[in-house]
Amino acid sequence: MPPGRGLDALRRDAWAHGRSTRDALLGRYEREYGVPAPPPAIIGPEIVTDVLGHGLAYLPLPLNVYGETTWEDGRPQITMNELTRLIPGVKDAEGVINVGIWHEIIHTDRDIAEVRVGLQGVFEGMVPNLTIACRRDQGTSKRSDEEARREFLAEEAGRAAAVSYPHLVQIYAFREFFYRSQRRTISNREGWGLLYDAARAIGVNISALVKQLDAEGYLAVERSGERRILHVQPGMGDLLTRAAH
Amino acid sequence: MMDAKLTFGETVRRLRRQKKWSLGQLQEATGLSYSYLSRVENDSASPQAEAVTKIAEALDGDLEELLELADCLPEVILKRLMRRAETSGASLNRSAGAGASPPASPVGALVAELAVANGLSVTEANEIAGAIERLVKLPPEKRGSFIDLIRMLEPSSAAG
Repeated sequence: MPPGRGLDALRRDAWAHGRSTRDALLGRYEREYGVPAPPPAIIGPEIVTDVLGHGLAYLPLPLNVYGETTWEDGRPQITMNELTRLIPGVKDAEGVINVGIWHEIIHTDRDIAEVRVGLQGVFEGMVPNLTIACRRDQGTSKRSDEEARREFLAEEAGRAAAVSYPHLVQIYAFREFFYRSQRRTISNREGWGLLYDAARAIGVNISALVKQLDAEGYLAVERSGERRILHVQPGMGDLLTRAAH
Repeated sequence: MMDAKLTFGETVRRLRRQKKWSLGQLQEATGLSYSYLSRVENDSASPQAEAVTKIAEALDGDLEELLELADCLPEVILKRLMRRAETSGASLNRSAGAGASPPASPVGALVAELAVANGLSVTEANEIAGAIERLVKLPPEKRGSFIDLIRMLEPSSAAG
């Protein structure tokens, strides 16, 4: 990480970058098809192929790789792991892939062009064979500071882009979760059930949704043995008001 | 006429975008799931004939050509193509399988039937037919070694 800046500040910058990238792309989608954009996680594939004009494929990759971005035939190529459901810990493969696509969109937007231009400057006329592989064991793998920074930013920005609050607050299950939590008429189990439904409705996996809400202080997850207890934080009411407008 | 260089997925995407349809609209029109359609458009899934038919109808595409591009010919289409082959001498061979010479009708019709009966693509059946054709053209005394090879390659022989 670059010295002198707190992790929280970097995270907030990454979220802002992810959201502005997403909003610009959703705007292009709406102009293209003349319909309000569905939740971004659901239409990630079209954003890649129709809006950005990049390549997209679903292929079997090693089980420690969610997806990768390469430069092929003069354009970025995103490949998602068709075996995602077999990756240890993955319960909702479709949601994981949907969030992963936004992670790769961030790479194509800010990283691969940077790397490509740099390499072409050195090896003029050569077509670089670049791969940005996004692994599940990021914390343990040996990687350079630059690589770690790139993955950190893509993970935070991609998740913030996929977990779209303007769409989330329109989901009945999410509003129900909030209002019943406020009235204290909901069990922890019911709360998880409603969050699962809300996550599915906007196309993301439950872990991504909870992680984003937790990271931004809207929700706290308390661990008690095997249980994970949800606590709605005061800011969630503001989120519902703000994101709806 | 569709561009022969395009894959099935590329063709579907082109037809969809010509109609200014999002993938969600195609999902509604076909009843197929979004993630499946995305995989189909990106040539990461092999659609069955039923799915190809739904897509072709929704996008006003040429069913025959789309079925050929997707390499799945249901019996009803196959019979139609066979009738056409018998009357006009048209070939069932796909452009993707151009390396194998198409057996002429009625052999072509039989190959197509065998493809359906054995769950093979027409290209695969044509390739087998082409190999058999070359085998029977060999002098009888030389065929024996190839027949021995077939026996050696049989799964039961390999396991033993």
